[in-house]
Amino acid sequence: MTLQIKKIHLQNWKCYENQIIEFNLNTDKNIWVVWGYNGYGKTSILEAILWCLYGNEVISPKKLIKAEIDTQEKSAEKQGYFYYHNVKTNPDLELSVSLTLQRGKQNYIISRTAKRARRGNTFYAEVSEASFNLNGKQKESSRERIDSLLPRSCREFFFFDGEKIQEYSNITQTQETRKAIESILGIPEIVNLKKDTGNVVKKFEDKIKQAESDNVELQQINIKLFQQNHEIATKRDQLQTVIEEYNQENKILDDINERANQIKELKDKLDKIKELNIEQQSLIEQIEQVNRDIAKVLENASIPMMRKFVKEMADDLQTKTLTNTRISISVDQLRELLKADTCVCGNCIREKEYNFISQQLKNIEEAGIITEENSRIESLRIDLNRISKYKVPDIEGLLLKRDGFEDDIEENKQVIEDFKKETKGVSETETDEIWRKIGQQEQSLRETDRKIERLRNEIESLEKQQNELKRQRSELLNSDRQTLILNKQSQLAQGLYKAAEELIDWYTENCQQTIEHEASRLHHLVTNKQDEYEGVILRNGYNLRVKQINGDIVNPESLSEGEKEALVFAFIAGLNLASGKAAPLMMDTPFGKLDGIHQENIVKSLPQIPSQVILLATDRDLPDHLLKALKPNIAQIHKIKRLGGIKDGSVVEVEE
Amino acid sequence: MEDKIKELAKKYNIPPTLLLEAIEMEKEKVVSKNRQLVPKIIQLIEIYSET
Repeated sequence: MTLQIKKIHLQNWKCYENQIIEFNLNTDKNIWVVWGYNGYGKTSILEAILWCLYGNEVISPKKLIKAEIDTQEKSAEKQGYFYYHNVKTNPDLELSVSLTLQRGKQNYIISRTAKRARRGNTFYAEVSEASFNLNGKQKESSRERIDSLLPRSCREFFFFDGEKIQEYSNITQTQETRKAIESILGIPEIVNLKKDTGNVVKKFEDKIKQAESDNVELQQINIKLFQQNHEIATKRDQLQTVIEEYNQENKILDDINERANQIKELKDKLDKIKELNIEQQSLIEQIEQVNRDIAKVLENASIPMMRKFVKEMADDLQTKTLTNTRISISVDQLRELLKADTCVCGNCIREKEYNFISQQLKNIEEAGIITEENSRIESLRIDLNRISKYKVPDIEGLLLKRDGFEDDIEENKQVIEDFKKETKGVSETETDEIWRKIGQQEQSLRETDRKIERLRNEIESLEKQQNELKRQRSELLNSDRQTLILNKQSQLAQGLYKAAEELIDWYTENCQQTIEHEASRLHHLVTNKQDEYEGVILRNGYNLRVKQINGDIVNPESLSEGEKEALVFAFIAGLNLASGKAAPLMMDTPFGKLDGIHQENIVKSLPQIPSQVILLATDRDLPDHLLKALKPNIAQIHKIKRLGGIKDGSVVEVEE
Repeated sequence: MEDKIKELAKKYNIPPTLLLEAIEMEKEKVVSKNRQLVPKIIQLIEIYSET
């Protein structure tokens, strides 16, 4: 059910001599506009409401009167909140503000007055305590009652000044504001219920104890129950301690496992270092071999250059060999001829020719052994031939190969260095040790777990015994009428207590979820970054945060002022919906820092807020196109007009 | 909230109207510093125990 402002009555307040502003609540529309140019008195209306509700906290008495006024001095400056035109003629002027609010059938009238009082030559403001009237009856504790309707710590949420938006970002972070929000949500009454029913339970227990004092059996059961309660409480404490131990040990195990994973990764690197060292050695050996090959090539470097000459030599020798062979064959033939009885022509060799050939043969034999020479020459020729066929090795290839090996060595060296840095501090022994530690820790955890199980079983068993005792106690109590009733009452009290206890947690969480849900919904309508923001979330109570689509959480401090306004606007709506009370929302300079898109979005979303919305606006705040968009949901437009002339005052009229 | 109240009332074996009335009493006195509701809740319970 919404709380709505029905009427504001201003007397001698700033520029208003006697002004009643009435909001016609017989409508299904939720927006009222109070329209006026700068300096006409819009903000004065907001100030009046705030002062009426919260008094000196918002406007101090000093500020109310501002300075002494000497009425005889015509040049005195106009100051303070008293309607100046009347101050001149009545120095003891009284101002008052009265606010009428309605929620369903409940009518609240809150009033406050202040009077100018003289002290010598100076004036001061005497401010009264606010009066609180509910359905025609005056109520006490007006301050507390006002606070329960519209908590002072949250006043910026209901009476919204668009010029002061930068103050809003941390507004929900104070303890005071948190309490105020919980007050709006109705949480304190449930907390109080738990506290009070707890005391009620004790009272009934005392009564039962008194009634049982004559019943020995009951007393004995009570003693046993007391002992058991104590034992159960002790076991629960032990269980809590062991659970904490378990959690600690679990954390240690997680840490060890993490370290083990790191070590495993590092162990792989240690193994790799070994492999690379072996590879390094092999590369070094290969380089040495290549170096030897290169040296050999360089040794035989001259051969290719002599190859042509050597070939010629070999060819010469071959010719010589052939010649010698021919000669050798001829000598043999001649020897055979000398031995033969007849000549090849069939004639005998004459003595003269025989002597000549013999002498020639002797000459040849004396000159040297042809065959041996031939053999020597042949051997030489073969060697020379071989040399001439010498294949020039690919020295360029060898050099490239060597460079390649050297690069590999360098690369391996670098990798080894890097791995060594990464594995610094890790030894082979640690890698074995860590797995042993894991095993030990897991074992320890299992033991703790068994301890927990054992304690839980013991508690369960004790509770069963306790329930049995309670059942016996109940039976005994029920056997007597007086104690039967007391027992029933005690059980109702206990039920009430447990219900209140569970209700608090559920309700708090439910409210927070509702606020988040509704605030997110409205924020999505209002924001100019619809594709970036996922929604509004609450942290640590009611601290506002914006969640982005990518999952990041944004603190409002980092938002622009327009975005802050959009966020606060969404939060107020969410709060109103969660509380089910829907307090009124009065916005002065509603679009103070907003860009065009934000303005349009807020205007479109205003009808969706479950509250009475009163806009104090100039033509700049509500240009034609926005006014046109808003018009279908406007219940009334009030216009502030200046009286003009010497009156120096304003009036508010309903625009037809 | 009302559904939750009914659920809790059933769970803890108390009349839902008892819980509702107690909450209403607390709401009225939430602004008071000295609520003095314990005797009133006791009275309420006594009434319900007779039914």
